[in-house]
Amino acid sequence: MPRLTRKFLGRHEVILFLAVIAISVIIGLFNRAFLSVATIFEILRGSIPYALMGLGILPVLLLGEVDISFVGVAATTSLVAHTLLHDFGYAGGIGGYILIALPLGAAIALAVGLISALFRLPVFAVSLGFWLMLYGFNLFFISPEMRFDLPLGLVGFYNHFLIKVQDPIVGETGLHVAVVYVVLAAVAIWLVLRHTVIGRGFYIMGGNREVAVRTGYSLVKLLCVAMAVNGALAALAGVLVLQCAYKRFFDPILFRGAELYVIAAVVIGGTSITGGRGSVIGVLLGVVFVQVITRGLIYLGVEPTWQQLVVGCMLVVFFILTSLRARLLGGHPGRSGLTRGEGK
Amino acid sequence: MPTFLRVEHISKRFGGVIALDDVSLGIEEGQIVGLVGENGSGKSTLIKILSGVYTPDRGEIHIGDRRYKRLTPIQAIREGISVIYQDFALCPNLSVAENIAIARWVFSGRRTIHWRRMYREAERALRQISDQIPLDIEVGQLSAADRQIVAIARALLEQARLIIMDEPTTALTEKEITSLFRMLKRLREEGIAVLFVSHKLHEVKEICDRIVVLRDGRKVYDGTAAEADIRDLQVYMTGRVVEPVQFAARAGEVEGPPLLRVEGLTLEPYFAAISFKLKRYEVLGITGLLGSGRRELALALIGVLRPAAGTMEIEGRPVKMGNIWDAWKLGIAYVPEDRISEGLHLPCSITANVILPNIRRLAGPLGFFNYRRHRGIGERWRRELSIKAPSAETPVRNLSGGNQQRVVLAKCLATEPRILVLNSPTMGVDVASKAAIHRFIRELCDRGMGIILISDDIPELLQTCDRILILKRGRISHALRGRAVTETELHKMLMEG
Amino acid sequence: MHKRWMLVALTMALVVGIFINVVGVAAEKGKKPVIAVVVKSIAYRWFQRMAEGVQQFAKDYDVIAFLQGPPVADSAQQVALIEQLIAMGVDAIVNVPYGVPENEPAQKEAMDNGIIVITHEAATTRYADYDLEAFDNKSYGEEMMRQLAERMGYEGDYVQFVGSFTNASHMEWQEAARAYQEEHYPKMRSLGIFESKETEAYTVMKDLLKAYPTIRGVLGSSALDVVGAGQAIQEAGLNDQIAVVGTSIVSYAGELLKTGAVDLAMCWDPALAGYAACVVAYKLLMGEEITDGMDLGVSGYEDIRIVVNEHGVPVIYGKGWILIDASNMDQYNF
Repeated sequence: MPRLTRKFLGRHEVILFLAVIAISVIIGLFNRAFLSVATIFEILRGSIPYALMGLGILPVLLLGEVDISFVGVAATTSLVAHTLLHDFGYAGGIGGYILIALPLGAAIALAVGLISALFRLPVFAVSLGFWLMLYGFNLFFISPEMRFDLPLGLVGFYNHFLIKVQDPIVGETGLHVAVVYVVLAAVAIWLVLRHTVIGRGFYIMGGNREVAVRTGYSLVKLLCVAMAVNGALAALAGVLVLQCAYKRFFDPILFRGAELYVIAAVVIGGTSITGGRGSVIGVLLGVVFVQVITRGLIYLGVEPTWQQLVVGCMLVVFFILTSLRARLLGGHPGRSGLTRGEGK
Repeated sequence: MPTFLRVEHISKRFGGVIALDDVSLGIEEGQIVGLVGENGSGKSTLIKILSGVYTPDRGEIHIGDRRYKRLTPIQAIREGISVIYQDFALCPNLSVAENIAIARWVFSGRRTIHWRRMYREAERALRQISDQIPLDIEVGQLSAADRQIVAIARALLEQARLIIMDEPTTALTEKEITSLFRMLKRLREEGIAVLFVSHKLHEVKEICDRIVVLRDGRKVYDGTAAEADIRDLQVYMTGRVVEPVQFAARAGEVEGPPLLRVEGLTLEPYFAAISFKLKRYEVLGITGLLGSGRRELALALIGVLRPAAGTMEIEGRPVKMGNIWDAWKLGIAYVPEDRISEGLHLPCSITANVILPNIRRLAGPLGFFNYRRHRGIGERWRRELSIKAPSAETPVRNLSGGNQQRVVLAKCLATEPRILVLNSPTMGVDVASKAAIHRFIRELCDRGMGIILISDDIPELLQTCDRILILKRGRISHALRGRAVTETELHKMLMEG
Repeated sequence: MHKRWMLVALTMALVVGIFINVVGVAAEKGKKPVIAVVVKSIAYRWFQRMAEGVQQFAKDYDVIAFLQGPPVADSAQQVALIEQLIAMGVDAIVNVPYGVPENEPAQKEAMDNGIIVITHEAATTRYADYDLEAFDNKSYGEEMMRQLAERMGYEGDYVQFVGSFTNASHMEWQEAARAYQEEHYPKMRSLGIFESKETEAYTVMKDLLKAYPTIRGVLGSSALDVVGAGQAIQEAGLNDQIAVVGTSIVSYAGELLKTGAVDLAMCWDPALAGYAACVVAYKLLMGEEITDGMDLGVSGYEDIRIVVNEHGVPVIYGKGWILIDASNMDQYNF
């Protein structure tokens, strides 16, 4: 193969993109309804919260740490923001929510990072505790019930579209405005990770901690930055999901269990769970990939009770194919982060 | 040549242990200085003082007209002292260019990355020493030799004037070593000094201008390489005379079918049509450059890799092995080259490590294992192999490299094998331990074992083997009687074609 | 011994003084029967509504009846509460257990102490004098199907939602509904049972609308199923084409009931259930018997059916569902 083609196909993101297209076309062949602008917009809309959380977890995973508390952060911050705003009789839109939830989310996640740095614990362990604590806090101190009492400014936010389309079946739908937040977050994180010295630190720290420290990076600092970003984006996802996706209420157990989907999507996007590998584009594609296969199954008419099994099988097959491709291309697995590097 | 760096009367102690005792040493610009010594002689302490990791208790470091009581890591880098560690300290997930240039970007206080300029800088540094390595490839995909080149390029970019190389030849094949030496000579011409830390005396003598020997924290020898005699250096290092192993070949006397007979063993693309016999009372050496298939052949012999074609017979009976347990049951034991990742469980005690392969045999009828009852096993092996440890319950992590290697051996021998496959058993081991291991290999052989020794250490092969096979691109290119060749001849056979 | 134990418990309850005015209850004790209703958690509006029924009962029957529960749904706290009540010596306990097996030892202890124990929403319990259920799952599912079929004109495709495949009640409702449809409405067809994961009915419905343009009906199980599905249908402008029937309450589905996106919300009124459970306890205290076909004097419980469960506990089934549509939604403010 010519070197450029090889390099191009060697990129995990390219393969993932092609896979998303291929799967969409296959589903579309079975059921024409899947291939419509409305469906694309719906899938993007459904991806928004997961994309935000995925982008947030990316720097943490790059460092070689795993966090699962971000879903709890999303639930708590959105509920706290709502409770506070509701008590003050707030009637505005999403802005007020973001103003409260974002810093709060960053602060909570920062606490996770600091505790793990201070006591030299894996972030994963601390985040397990926070996961429980945050959901427990919601149920106990705030509200065990869903809150439907939206402020006036939020009613109808779920129908704010950048581009509107009229679908013959599901009616008016479109590209939801919240996509803007994802684009902003993605561009910002991409710029930092790719083009700043501190951003490269995440990759170096994930590749070889000793080198990173010798080069002058501080694990604690990087971890704090990563966790703050993680918490802030999770909080953003928490307040946006309520409106942009399908939830019309504030939910004390929001996203509980979704952390696995987010991490799965990010890993599908080529991020290594052991650090050092992963890209913004990969994360976004991974999230869309998961959305396409989970939602596409309805169009294929797969018996609903079978869906989880089918999704699981598809993921495993995808991972195997990725590994085979890596071997075919260069005999050096480990490029995508999905496959384990070969020990010497 | 002007002196680049001088250390004067440096001493360093850790608790009760004196690591360095009044060591003085000067390095001239463009000089390659060999620093040799056994494990624990103070080599690594000296490196760490020079790179600013440790603070000396006494003494001074002079660089140019500056005098330091101690160096900080930043000062060391500013003064142009650069260390290339054994693991090269690279990020496997990043490109060659980034690995070379990133540290400089960080130290120069820049905040953003200009990729094109970074590639240009990296390219300039890398092309001084190599034209082969592409800049955009991930370091994880490079061979050990190429990674070393990347590490040197990084040092050059950091404007190193003294490059300290810690055991630089450990992971390299002969051929790669030759090209490393060429590279070092080029650096020398550019006025860059090299401190070559090693215990391979042949190499040190070949490449270095001057040799310094440390023993027990003291400088015991300092002289030009040309004058130094290897045997003398050995005495300086160990403090005693190490006798080369003497042995008598007994394999010829053995009757009956060979212990192991291999016919047409093939596993593309690693090796093909490998046939040989191994008798009892015999050490068979297998050598070849890195990538010649020697490692894979070893793995096939012990059941880890399954060959696509060919047969194996043990004492005349054909055998098939699906995994390493099968090999163990047939009496084949393996000592891996990478003792840490393949052979030892570092946090566990010597006893636990030795027992592990036997655990199925020693366990009770229900598969439960009574650790206390078998404690004696570890103690027995500790004594037999004279492993330096307070007791057999010492975690293996706390042992030196040579002693860890002995534990690996003990672990294999505890299975009472008939055939022992050793892969580079003395890699990273000091001279004294090495001789002990060689002696021990012959001793085992004399007990009636058949031994396959895979190694690229030519003197080692010549000293211990009855016969030697040379592998090239997966095929046997030469089959020699051990003492019929000289070092130079064997070296030539290995390198040619 | 018993007395001293009681004293200790009383003092403790006094000191802790968590949920109720023990002094008041203890002072009045002896004059009127005391019936305590313990629920999963008092934080839920559902049980706040139940408390209304219990208060009404206390007024109507001139007894002391009160409702209490932990601030957050938790079996351990619930058991601790029951033990306090035993120590106080109440006459009857109506328990709505969070975890059915976890609550059983406490229920048994109460029975051993001569206290009447009635459970609610725990048809499989081992220890209770009676269990009271608003309805049995099969009848409820069949009723749901009758309501849906009527609104679909007895023909067309419909989809079924459950909160999750592991929710036994939801599955029983939907399976009974489907069986009933297959028997009585041959022109109708189920497109399958879909999982809404409680909160994702909206997304699933959107995809279903496109994948199956023939949908004419939706049957929801979780209280949020019809909300999500109704929302999607409303956005598609299909309020009049698709009938949406399912379990829900006004506080969740109110808006959509008004616009007609959701046609019928079905539920049971916790106030009535609480009232009925207290009636059963009262009758037992008065030495009356509970018999099949009896009228408990509560709407939906005029013709009860008694089935003994596998552990020998008689389970009382009412027909206590209520049908809420745009016309009567104002009466059900929960």
